[in-house]
Amino acid sequence: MNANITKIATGTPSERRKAEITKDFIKSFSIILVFLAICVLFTSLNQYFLTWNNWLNLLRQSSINGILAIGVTFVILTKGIDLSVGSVMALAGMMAANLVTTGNEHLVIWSILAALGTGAVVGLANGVLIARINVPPFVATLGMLSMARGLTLIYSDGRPIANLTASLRWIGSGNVLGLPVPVLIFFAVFLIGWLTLSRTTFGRYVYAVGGNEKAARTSGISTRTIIAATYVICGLLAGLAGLVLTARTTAALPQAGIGYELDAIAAVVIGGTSLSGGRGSLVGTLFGALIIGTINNGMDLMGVSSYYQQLLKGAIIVLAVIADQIRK
Amino acid sequence: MINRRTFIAAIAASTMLLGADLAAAQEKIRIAALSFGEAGEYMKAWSTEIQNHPAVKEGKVEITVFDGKYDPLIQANQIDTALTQQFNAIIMAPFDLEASAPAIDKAAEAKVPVIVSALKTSSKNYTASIIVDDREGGRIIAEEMAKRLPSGGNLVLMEGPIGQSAQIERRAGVDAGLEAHSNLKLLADKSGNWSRAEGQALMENWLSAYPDQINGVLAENDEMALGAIEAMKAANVDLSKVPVIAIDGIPDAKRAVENGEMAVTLYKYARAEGQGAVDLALRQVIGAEYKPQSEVWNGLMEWKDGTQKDYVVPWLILDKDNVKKYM
Repeated sequence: MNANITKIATGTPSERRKAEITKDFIKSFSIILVFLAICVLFTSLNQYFLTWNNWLNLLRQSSINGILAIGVTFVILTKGIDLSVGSVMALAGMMAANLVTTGNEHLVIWSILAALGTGAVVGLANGVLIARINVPPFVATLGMLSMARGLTLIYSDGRPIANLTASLRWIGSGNVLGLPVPVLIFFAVFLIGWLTLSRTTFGRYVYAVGGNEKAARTSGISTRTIIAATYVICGLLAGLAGLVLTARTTAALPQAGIGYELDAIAAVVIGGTSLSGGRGSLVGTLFGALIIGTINNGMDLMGVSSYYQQLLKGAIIVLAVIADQIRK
Repeated sequence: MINRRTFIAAIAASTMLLGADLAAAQEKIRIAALSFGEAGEYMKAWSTEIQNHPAVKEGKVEITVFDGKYDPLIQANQIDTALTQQFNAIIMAPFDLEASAPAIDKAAEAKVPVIVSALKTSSKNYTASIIVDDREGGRIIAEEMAKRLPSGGNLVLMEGPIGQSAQIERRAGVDAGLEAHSNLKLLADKSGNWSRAEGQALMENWLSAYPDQINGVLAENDEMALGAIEAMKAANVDLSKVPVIAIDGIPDAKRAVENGEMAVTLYKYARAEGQGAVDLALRQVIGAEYKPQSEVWNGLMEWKDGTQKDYVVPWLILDKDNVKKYM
C-alpha cells in the first residue's frame, strides 16, 4: 500500500492515474457485489422490495446519511474523525429554518447559504482545533458535538421552528424528472466529491496526508491546510444534510440529528475506507450508505423488530473494521 | 475480499430470518403500527396491547410494529415504507406535532386510513384519532396537587420534549389548573425529555438551588417523576410531606404510589389508545358491519359507529386508595 501511496504522491501523472483507478476499481467491485447480494436477498423475501416506489423510498431514505457520509469520508481519509456532524445538522437546520418561517420569509437561497455557511464555520473551528492546535480529532469533534448542540438549544430556546415556506419544503419533498430532490442532491454531492478526490491535486494530497503524514510533509504538501480543509468540507456537507433534514421533516427540531454521526461513520467504514487513513473511495461510501439504507428499508418491509435491526447494524460495522484490520 | 463481503451478507440473511415473519397469509388484514419509540415503557405497552387485540390473536389481522426511535424523520420514512407495502391501514403515534403532518397527508392522499393514537398531529387529514385529553390531564394533576397543599406552596414542573403535543397540551392544562389556585407558585420548570435519568438530574439541581423550598413536584410523565423521587430519597426529603404527582400510570409508578413515594399518577390506558385504534382501523377497512372487539368499548368509551373523527380516552386517577385494583 505504501508503494501505491508514494506513486500517488510522487509518480508520473499516468502512473498516478493508473494506481488510483486500480484501487478504486477493486474496492468498488467488491462492495457493489455485496450490495447486489443484499438486494437479491430482499427481493426474494419480499414482493414489494423491487418496486420502483420502494427504490425511490430507499434512495431518498439513504440521501441524508449519504451526504453526511461523503463529508466524513474526507475526514477519515486523513486519519481523522468527525463526531460533531449530527449536532451541526441540527444547528444548520435551525439557522436555515429561521429565515423561511411564515412571518419571516426570505428567499430560500439565503436559507441554503445559511445552512452551508453554518456547517463550514463549525468545520473550520474543528479544522483549526485539530490541525493548528493539535487537539486529537476524537476529542475536538466530541467537544464540538456538545457545543453545537448547546448552541442549537440556546438559539431555539429548546423549541422547534415550524411553518416553513413551500420553497424550503420542496427541497425535502419535491421531485425533478421523477427523482426526489434529496436523491439528486446526494448524487450531485457524490459526483463533485468523487471528482475532487480522484481528479484534483487536492484529492491526491488528501490520500497522501492520510497514508503517511510525515512523508507528505517532507514532499512539500502543507498537511495542516489539507487536514483543516477536510473538516471544512465535512462541516459544509453536514450543513447541507441538515438543510435537507429540516426540509424533509418540515420543522427544525433542536433534537434533530442525534446519533446520526454513527450511521455516517458506519457507511464510510462498511464502504471500505480505512479508519487509519489513506485508503478508501467515495464509491465505497456511496454503496456503504446504500447498504445501510437497504438494510433499514428491507428490514422494515419485513417487519423485523428494530431491536434485531440494531444488532445487525452493529455486527456489520464491527465485521467491516475487523476485515480492515486483517487486510493490513 | 469475497470472504468478508459475503460473510456480511450471510449475517444479514440469518439475522433477518431470526426476526422476520416469513409465512404471511395473503388473506389477513395488514395494519402498520408506527410507534414513536419502543425504548420507553408506555409505547412498549401500547404496541403490546395492539398485538394482543382479539382480532390479532384470532389471526384475522396482522400487525407490523415500526419503531420510530423518537425521530420524526424515521417516522416519515416509515410511512413511505408502509405505503409501498400497501398496508390496509396505518396506526400512528406521531412523535412531533408538526413534523408528522406531511407524512400523514401523504397517506391520506394515497387513500390509506390513518388512525392517530397517543399523541396529536397538526395535520387535519387523518381518518380518526384516539388520544387522551392531555390538557385535561395537566389540569387534573394541578388540581390534585392543590388538594394536597391546601395552604399553598412552591412547585417545580418537569416537562416532556418541547414541541411534542403531549408537552404543549399538558403544560397548558397545568397552567390553567394552577391559575385557579393563587397560593401555588411555580418555582421552576424544565424539560426532562420523558427520561428518568434526566428527571433525576433535574431534581438534584433543583434541590440544591431551592433548599427546603420545594413543596410539591409535578411531572408531565411518570418516568421523570420516578427520577425525581430517586433524587429526593438521596437527599432525605420526606416524600409524605412533598407530594410527587405525574401522568401515565406505568407499572413502576403504580408501585411507587402503593408504597407512598408517589402521591398520584394519572393512568393512561395503553389498551384504550392501542386496541381502540385497531378497532377504528378495522372499521375503516371492513365497513359499517364491523363490531369492535376490544373491551375498552364496553363502558370506558362510546363506539359511536366508529366513524367519529376524534375519540377522547378518559384518565383514571390512581392514588394510594385505589391503585391496588389496577396493579
